[in-house]
Amino acid sequence: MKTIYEKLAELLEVDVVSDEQILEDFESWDSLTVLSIIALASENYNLVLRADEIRELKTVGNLVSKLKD
Amino acid sequence: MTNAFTLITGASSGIGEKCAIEHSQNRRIILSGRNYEKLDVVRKKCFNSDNHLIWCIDLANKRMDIFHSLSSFLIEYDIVIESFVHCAGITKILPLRNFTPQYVDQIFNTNIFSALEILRVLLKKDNKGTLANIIFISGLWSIRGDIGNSIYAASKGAINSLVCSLAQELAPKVRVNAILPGAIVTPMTENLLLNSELGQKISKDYPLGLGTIEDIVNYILFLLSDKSRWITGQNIVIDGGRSTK
Repeated sequence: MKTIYEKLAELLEVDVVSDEQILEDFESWDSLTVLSIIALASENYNLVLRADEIRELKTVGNLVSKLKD
Repeated sequence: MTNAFTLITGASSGIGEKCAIEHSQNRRIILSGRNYEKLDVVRKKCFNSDNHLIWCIDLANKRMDIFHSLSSFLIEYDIVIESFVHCAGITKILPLRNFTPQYVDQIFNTNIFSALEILRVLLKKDNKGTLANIIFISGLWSIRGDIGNSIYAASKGAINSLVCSLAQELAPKVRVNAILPGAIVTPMTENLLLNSELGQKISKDYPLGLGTIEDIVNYILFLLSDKSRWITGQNIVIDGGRSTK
């Protein structure tokens, strides 16, 4: 079972991610990534997230705590 | 009651469930799905529930077992299938770049490849003389674009093309059609469609509003009846006018 950080690293097309990294700084951070995170949230955490909620988040750490809410 | 059954995949919920219950007034049904307990609940909702059978199979992951499993099932009960309604379908909303081969396989297995395995059984000599009607549930996204739905759309598009050629190949004995529903409210989609901003946005695209399971099942029942005897090879869009946009 992959950890949430491994899954996010895969979506963001990097080797590893850490809490303090800024989401918008990732080269592959775009609307399709946001869509993938919505899918990830609903599949793994039974969570219905909106795109604008995800857009408001600043860092990887913020995103992880949102998913683990 | 005849010994000729209607096989319905995806019969444990949504369109498949409703179709099984409604059609059980006229025909004996084979309810198919992954979960025996869920199928048995639906079977008990059917008219004369003891008349109907359950064929349990995982279409997404056991593609290579389908042919043998269904063949043995038909021999064991000594029955034949007159109509096949393929309601089983799955999707995964994900951009293509994040798809893995496993997801692609599961979607194509469930939505189209499993139906090909089932049809290989139904067209063998023991059943061939009985088979009269094949109905697929395709989807509006096979002919309209949508972000994050490309693999699902491709699998449904494969159904549309299959119907066209198979109608030629199997005429005049067997009719083959596909229904392309727009967004309908089912237990699986109601949370999204009825309780979110996205749902409100989606429903604005539908001149007649969102559809219901009944809107689709009514047409399946029509296709299963002789009233549709001159209809074959068609992709029938039922979408409350969405595709006119």
